[in-house]
Amino acid sequence: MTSTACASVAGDRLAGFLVRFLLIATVLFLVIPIAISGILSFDDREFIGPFPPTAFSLRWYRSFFENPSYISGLFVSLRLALLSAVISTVVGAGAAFALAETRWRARGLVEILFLSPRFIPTVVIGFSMLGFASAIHIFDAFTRLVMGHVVITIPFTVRATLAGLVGVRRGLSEAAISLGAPPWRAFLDATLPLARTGIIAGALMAFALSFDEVAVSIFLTDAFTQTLPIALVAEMRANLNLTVAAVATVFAIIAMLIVAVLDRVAGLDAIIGRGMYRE
Amino acid sequence: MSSPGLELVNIVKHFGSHAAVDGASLSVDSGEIVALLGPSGCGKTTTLRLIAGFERLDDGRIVVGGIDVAKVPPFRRHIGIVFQDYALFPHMTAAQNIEYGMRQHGFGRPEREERRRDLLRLVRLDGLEHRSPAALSGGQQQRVALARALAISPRLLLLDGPLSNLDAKLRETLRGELRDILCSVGTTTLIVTHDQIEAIGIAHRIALMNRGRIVQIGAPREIYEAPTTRFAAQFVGQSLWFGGRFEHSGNDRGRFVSDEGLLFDTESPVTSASRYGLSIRPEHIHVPPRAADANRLAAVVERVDFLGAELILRCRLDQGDRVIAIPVRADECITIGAGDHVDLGVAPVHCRVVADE
Amino acid sequence: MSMSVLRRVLLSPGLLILAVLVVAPITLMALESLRPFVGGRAGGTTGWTLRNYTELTQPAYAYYFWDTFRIGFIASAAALLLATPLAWQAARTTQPALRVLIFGLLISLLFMSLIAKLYAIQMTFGPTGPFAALGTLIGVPARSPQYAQVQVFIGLLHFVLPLATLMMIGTFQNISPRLEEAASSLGAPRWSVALSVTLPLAVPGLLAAFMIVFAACISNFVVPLILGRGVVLFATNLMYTRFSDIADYPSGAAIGVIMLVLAGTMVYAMTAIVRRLVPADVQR
Repeated sequence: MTSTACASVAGDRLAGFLVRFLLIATVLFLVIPIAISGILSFDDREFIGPFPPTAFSLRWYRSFFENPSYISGLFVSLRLALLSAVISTVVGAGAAFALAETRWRARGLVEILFLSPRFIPTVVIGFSMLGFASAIHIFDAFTRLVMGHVVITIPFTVRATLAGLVGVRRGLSEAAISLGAPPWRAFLDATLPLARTGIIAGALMAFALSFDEVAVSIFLTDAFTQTLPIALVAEMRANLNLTVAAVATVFAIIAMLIVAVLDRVAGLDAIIGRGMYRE
Repeated sequence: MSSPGLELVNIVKHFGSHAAVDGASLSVDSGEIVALLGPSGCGKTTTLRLIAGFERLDDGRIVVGGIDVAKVPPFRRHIGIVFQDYALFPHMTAAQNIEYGMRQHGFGRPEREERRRDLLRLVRLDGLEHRSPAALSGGQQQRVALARALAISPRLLLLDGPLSNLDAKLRETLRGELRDILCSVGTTTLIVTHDQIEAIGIAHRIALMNRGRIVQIGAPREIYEAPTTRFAAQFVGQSLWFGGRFEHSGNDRGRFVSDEGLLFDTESPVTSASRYGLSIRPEHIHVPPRAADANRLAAVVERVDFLGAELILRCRLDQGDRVIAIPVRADECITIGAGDHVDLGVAPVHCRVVADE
Repeated sequence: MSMSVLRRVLLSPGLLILAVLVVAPITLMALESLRPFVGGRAGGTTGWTLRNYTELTQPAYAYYFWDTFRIGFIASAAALLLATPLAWQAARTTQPALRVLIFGLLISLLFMSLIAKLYAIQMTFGPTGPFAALGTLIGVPARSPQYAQVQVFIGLLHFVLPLATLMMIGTFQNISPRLEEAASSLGAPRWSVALSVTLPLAVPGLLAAFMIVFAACISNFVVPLILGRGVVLFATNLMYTRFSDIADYPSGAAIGVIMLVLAGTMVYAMTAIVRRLVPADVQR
């Protein structure tokens, strides 16, 4: 029996090594391109040369700010993302509150309805929105963009608020009502404040999603109103250079900052949850 | 038996800066059933996981069946475990659950089926082997879990609160059955529990655990009648506790002066400690005092609670103004009512001087 | 104001938006897909036809759909393959630091611009990048046109891997660790525990995650746009070129309808699988 015993211990160890190797390979696979892009963003050469760079400078970061189409694209994207996030959060969180309170028969169906845009390919949303906007004579690009971006972000604000409401017991608003508050007051005082983290998470996701969106935007922009991603793609098509590396690095840093803030505010453990078998 | 079934030698386990197990030692004879009893957070579950191999020891030794298991991965330790929630594989039938260990050890099919039948008969579950765990009641699931653990003829059996997930009535019936099964199989067993009735009803000996250490080991009766610490006295059974000073006068005798000024002659072995207290089991205080009850206390009955076969007398001691609750048999004290002055007596041998820790 | 009125007030803006901005445009698009294409005119034609759909069955176009499915499937399978061990580790680890690290990594990747990641991939795995040798390793040199498929595959992987991992973390969190310990105590080495206990119980979660990831892959537009180099085109890109190059709205609309039906079918299949395989008391 001892030879099979040794074999199975060896097999167990081997399996352990393989899994660990796979894990590290996966993490490296995810992180390396971002690291390389980060290093390249400081490359001083005018053209994209072989890695690694020999001289470093901030030229690509400067080139971003010196390019008018990038700057206008940045402002358009910021305005668009902000407006879309606000509208989407107000509408989505409101819907989530309404859905969470009910033991309504139609609740499941309505919930699916609100989450449905997530399953519609974004090109379809962009394409169909263009035709629709033309049909009702809305030709302003920014308005069209807001329409499209609100649609794609609503599922996230609804879902995030619902998740945030899971911890809020209905009893709290009922207690407020029993103490004399009318339903809308009970909602404002007892329910709304506790769902804060969910609402904020939803708003953040909506903003990030809108800022990065290409497929919807590409149908709805015009020559004068371009979002930053569209401007980037257009420029890179014509002339691929390392400005995009600088942009990528900035985005990566912002993403990490957002995560750090989320961890400080709510705790990443809380956001992802612990499942049924909390240790 | 020459080698003990299980030996824990000064085991230590830290989680961060917190010592969950802080130098616990225990020796279980082969074939013996020992209960590791203690409140939540005392380290008993950690100890079980250390023995099973799911946590790594920081210091000390664990010896199972004469073999030091420190270097042995959990799947080779040959220890049977019954988890608190049974952990039956939901995607397998009861029969497949029971055969799982045998499969891993390379048993052939006829061997597995025969052994499975024997085990099902042992735990009294014949006929239910093709049900899935979801279709079984709590008590039935527990039996499947036990059969599964026993199927590999383990050197040691670990039970984690085996009866805690069952309702009170079921617990009573299964306690006796569990004891019978364990004794008939004869495997060295360690039961981890916070329920003293579970411990007393099943185990040969009890190991009391508190704050990561094992504070007293003995037969259930021994622990009940001769606790060595305040923790032991209060955790197992009821205890009337008096703080105070103790004067040893020789042999096992001595005198205890409580903080309220009450005097007790004591007759109990005393382990050395920095501080002492006095523990008296309420049922040893007699109304009226018996011949052997050399210690007398005067009190006034404040209230009489009727509990059927028993009455609880709540008495305020004349000296010290303390209220103690004393159980008495209803048919012996029918004339006592609230407001009555009574004489209470307790024998020195029931006045246990214990370490205050 | 009563609760039910309040509820209606809260729901109406959302329902309005859904009706006006989702249902109406898509209905319009579906109608447009049945109209004939008249070159030089953008929309407004009369009459009904199925030509836009039948046209797509020609090999030239069917090829794009096939490419979309093929690459999307391989990327989804690879994503689940890599996500599963990572998710299991994140769900089971007893060191909080490791768990927070993995969570942090995954969420930052989700928040990070996809476009940024794609160009980073271009610079890393592309012909000028340090890892271009990957191509020669698998027999598709980085300079060859076929390499675009590899890059699109990598891009899709980067896109869906964080999502897949997060979903699988949820799955593993809902499988009791005691089950794995029980299997271990009964003599199963870790690989046997994984094959006989963990993975069978994770199957519903795996299938659900795969469906979602696959739907995301075939609906993706940016990855083939940026990394496809014109060689790899998904149905989504085809939709765009119909519109931008030749203003063939009806054809684009037809592709859109097909994509919608496909995505919808996938979601439906996913919910059906989850409902069948997950016991009712475990579903939230």
